[in-house]
Amino acid sequence: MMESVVQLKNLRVEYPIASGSSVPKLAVNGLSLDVRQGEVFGFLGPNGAGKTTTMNVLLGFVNATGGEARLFGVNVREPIARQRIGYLPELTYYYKFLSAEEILRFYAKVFGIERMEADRRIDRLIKLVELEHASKRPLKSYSKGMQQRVGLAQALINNPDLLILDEPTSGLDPIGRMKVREIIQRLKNEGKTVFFSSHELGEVETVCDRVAIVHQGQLREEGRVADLLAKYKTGLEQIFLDLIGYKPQAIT
Amino acid sequence: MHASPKWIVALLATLSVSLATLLAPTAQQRSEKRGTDGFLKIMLGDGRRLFAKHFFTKADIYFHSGYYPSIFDQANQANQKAITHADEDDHHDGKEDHDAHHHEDHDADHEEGMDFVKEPRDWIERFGRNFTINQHTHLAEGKQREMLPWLRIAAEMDPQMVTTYTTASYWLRKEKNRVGEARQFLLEGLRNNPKSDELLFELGSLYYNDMADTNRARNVMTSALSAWFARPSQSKTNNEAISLLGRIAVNLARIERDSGNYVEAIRYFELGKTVSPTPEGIQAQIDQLRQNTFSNDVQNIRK
Amino acid sequence: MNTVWAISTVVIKELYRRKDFYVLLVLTTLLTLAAGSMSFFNENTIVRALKEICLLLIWISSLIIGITTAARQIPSEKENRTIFPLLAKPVTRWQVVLGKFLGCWLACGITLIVFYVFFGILVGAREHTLPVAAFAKLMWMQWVALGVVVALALLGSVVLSAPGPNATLCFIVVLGVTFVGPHLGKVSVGLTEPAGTLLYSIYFLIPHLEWYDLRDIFINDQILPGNAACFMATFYAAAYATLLLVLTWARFRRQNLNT
Ligand SMILES: Nc1ncnc2c1ncn2[C@@H]1O[C@H](COP(=O)(O)OP(=O)(O)OP(=O)(O)O)[C@@H](O)[C@H]1O
Ligand SMILES: [Mg+2]
Repeated sequence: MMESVVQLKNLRVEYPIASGSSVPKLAVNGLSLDVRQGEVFGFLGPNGAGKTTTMNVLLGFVNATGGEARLFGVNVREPIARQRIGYLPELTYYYKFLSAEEILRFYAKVFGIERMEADRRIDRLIKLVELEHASKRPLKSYSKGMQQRVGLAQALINNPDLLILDEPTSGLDPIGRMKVREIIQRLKNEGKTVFFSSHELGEVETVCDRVAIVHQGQLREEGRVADLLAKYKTGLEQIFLDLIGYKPQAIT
Repeated sequence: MHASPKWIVALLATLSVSLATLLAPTAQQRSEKRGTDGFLKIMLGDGRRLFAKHFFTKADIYFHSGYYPSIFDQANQANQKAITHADEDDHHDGKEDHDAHHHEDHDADHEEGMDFVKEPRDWIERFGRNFTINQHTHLAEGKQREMLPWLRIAAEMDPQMVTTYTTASYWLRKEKNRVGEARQFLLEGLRNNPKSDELLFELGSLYYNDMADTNRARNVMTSALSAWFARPSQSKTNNEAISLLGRIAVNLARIERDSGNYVEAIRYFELGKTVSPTPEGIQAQIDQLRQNTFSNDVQNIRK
Repeated sequence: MNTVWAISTVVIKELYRRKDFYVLLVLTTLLTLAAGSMSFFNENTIVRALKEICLLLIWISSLIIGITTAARQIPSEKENRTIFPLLAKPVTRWQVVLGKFLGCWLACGITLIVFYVFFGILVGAREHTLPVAAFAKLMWMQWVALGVVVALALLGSVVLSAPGPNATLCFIVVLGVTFVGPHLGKVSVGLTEPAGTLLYSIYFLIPHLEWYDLRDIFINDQILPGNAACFMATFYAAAYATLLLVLTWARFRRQNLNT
C-alpha cells in the first residue's frame, strides 16, 4: 500500500465565539481524509465550506479542536512535519522590500539548504516562473501575477514531496493558469503529491486523480474522478451542485 | 507598515508624558511655593517658566556633579523632617555673613538636604548604587563654567527670573577674563527687570570688586538701595529681603570708605547694622572709621 | 540557529531599506551636530551640556527605533500575511520570536554604533581626548537595556496586535520604570498595608532599567561602574529578556492565525 501523505481523522475545528454570534463557529466537522503518495487531490466545496481552515490545520496555523491531522505520518504540531512540503497560500504577499532572489534565498536558509545547492535551485525556479528580468528588483515593483509566481517558486524551493495549494489559479491570467496546470502535471510525473483546493471544476476534472467535496465542514463525497463520473453519470459541476443541495431558483 | 497619523499622535502624547515626568521635580517645587496652583495651569500657563526652572535646576545638578535628590527623595525627606523636626523653626536663615553670595545662600539652604543617600534597604538598591552617583562633590574650580549653558537657556525661557542672572554672573566673575561677559549678562537682566534691586546690587558689586570702578559702583549701588526701598512693604520683611538690604548697605559703606567719604560710610554701616544678625562686627568697623575721621579732623585742624 | 539568524537578517534588511529609519538617523545626527556647534558665552570648552543633549537625543532615538521596530514585527507579518509562507516551513514559533528579537536588537546595536561614532567625533573635537573604554561601556549598557525593551515590545505585540498602542504603552512603561521604578521601594515604606506590600512587590518585579543609564555618571565625570557590576547587570538583563521572550512565545505559540 502507498504511503499516506495527508491523513485527517475526524478533524474538528471550532473558531471561538466571534462578535455578533452566540455560538462558536464550527468550520470543520468530523472530517476524515486520506491522500496517498503520488496523487493529485482536488479539495472542493462552496465558499465557507472549510477548505482553507483544513489546510491551515495541516500547516499548523490553526489548532484543531478535535481529531487528528498528520503529514507523512507526523502530527502537524511538529514543525518537522513541514520539512517536505511546499505551500502556496490563497492570497500571497511576501516581504515587499526584498527581491525575488532574496526571498528565495531566505526560505532556502530556513530549510537549511546549502549555499551552492540553493544557488542552483533559485536559478532554476526563477527560470521556471519566468521572473529572470525582475529577480533583483524589490517585490513592491511587482504586479499581482508576478508576486503569485514568486509564491509558486518559494513553494518549490525545498523540492517538496507534497504541495499544498490553496486556490492556486485564482487571480492568474489564462496563461498563468496554464502554467500552474503544467507545473502540477510535471510534479505528478515526478511522483510528488499535490493537495489543492479550487473552484475551477473544469480544471479539477483535467488534472486530478481524486477529489473530495466538502460542505459545511463535512465530507459529502470522495473518490476517483473517473469513478464519480461513472457513478453519477453527469459532469463534475452537476455532481457538486447536487451534493451541496443547490436548487435553481426562478428569477422573478 | 507605514506610520499612520494616529500613531504619530500617540507617539507625541508619549513624548509629552515623558517630558512631564522629567519636569515633575520642578513642578513639585513650584507648586510647593505657589500652594494652590493646579498642575494643569502650570503646564499650560507658565510652561516657559517651568522650563526655565528646570534648566536652572539642571545647572544646580551640575554644580553637585550629578549628586542630586529625586522628587521621591525630597518627598521622603520632607516627611521625615515633618516628623522629627516639627518643633524646630527655620531660624538658621539669618546666620550667613552679609557678604556671602546669593548662590551660596541657596546652597546652604539645601545642602543639608543632600544626605539623601541612606543605607540600602534591599539588594536592588544596593546593587543599583553601582550605577548612580553617591558622592556629594562640587564642580572643581575652573569647571564651573559647565553650568553656564543651562543658565543661558533658563534666561531665554524666563527673562524675569532674576536668580538666573545673578547666579550666572557669580560664576562668570570667578574668572577674571570673563567679568565683561558677566556685566553683559547682568545688563541684559536689568533690561528685562529694570527695578530689580538684586540685579543692581550684583552689578554694583561687580563694578566695585572686579572692575574697581568706584563711581559707577556707587551709582548702581545707590539705585539698588532706592529700588529696595521702593519694594512693596510686604516684601521687605522676609529674611531674604533683609539680608539683601544688609549687603547693599555694607557694600555702599565700603565704597564710600574707599573714596574717603567716612561720614557717608558710617551712615551706611549704621543702616547695615540695624538689619545684620552680627551687628558687633559692623560696630567694630564703625568704630574704626570714627577713629579715622577723628584723626583726619585732627590733621585738618593742625593744618 | 540558522533559521533564527535568517529571520533576524530580514528584520535588519527591512530596517535599512525603510525611509523613516533614515529620517530618524539623519535627524538625530543633525541635531547632535547642531548641538555640537552651539556655543554659550563665547565658550567652546564647555562639554557637559553638549554631552547631555547629545546623549539624551541618542537615548530617545534608540528607544524609538527599538520599540517601534519590535512592536511592528509580528503584527506586520500577520497583516501582510508574510507569516504564512514562513510558518509553512519547518520553523517553530519560538524561532520566529527569537529571530525577531535578535534582528531588532542587532538593529539597535547598529544604530547605537552610528550614533556613538558621531558623538565621539563631537566630544573628541572639543575635549581633544577620546575615552574609548568609557564610550564602549556606556554604549554596551544602553544596548543591553534595549534588549529588555525590545523583548518587552515583542511581548506587547503578541498581546495587543496594533503596533501604535503597543509602542505607546511600551514607551510609558519604559519611562515609568526608568524614572519612577527605582523609587518604588522608598515610596512603599510610607504606605498603608496592602498597598505598601503590593508596591514593594512591583518594585521587585519590574526590570531595573535605570541601572543601564550611565549618562549622568558619564556627563559629570564621575567613576563609571566596574566591569563586575556591568557584567552582573548584563546577566540580569539577559535573564529578564529571556523571561519576556518566553512569555511572548507562550502567548504566540497557541495563537490561531487565519489566512
Ligand atoms: N477566524 C475565523 N473566525 C470565525 N470564523 C471563521 C474564521 N475563519 C473562517 N471562519 C469560518 O469558517 C468557515 C470556513 O471558512 P474557510 O475559510 O475554511 O472556507 P473555504 O472553504 O476556504 O471558503 P472559500 O472557498 O471562500 O475560500 C466559514 O464559515 C468562515 O466564516
Ligand atoms: Mg478558502
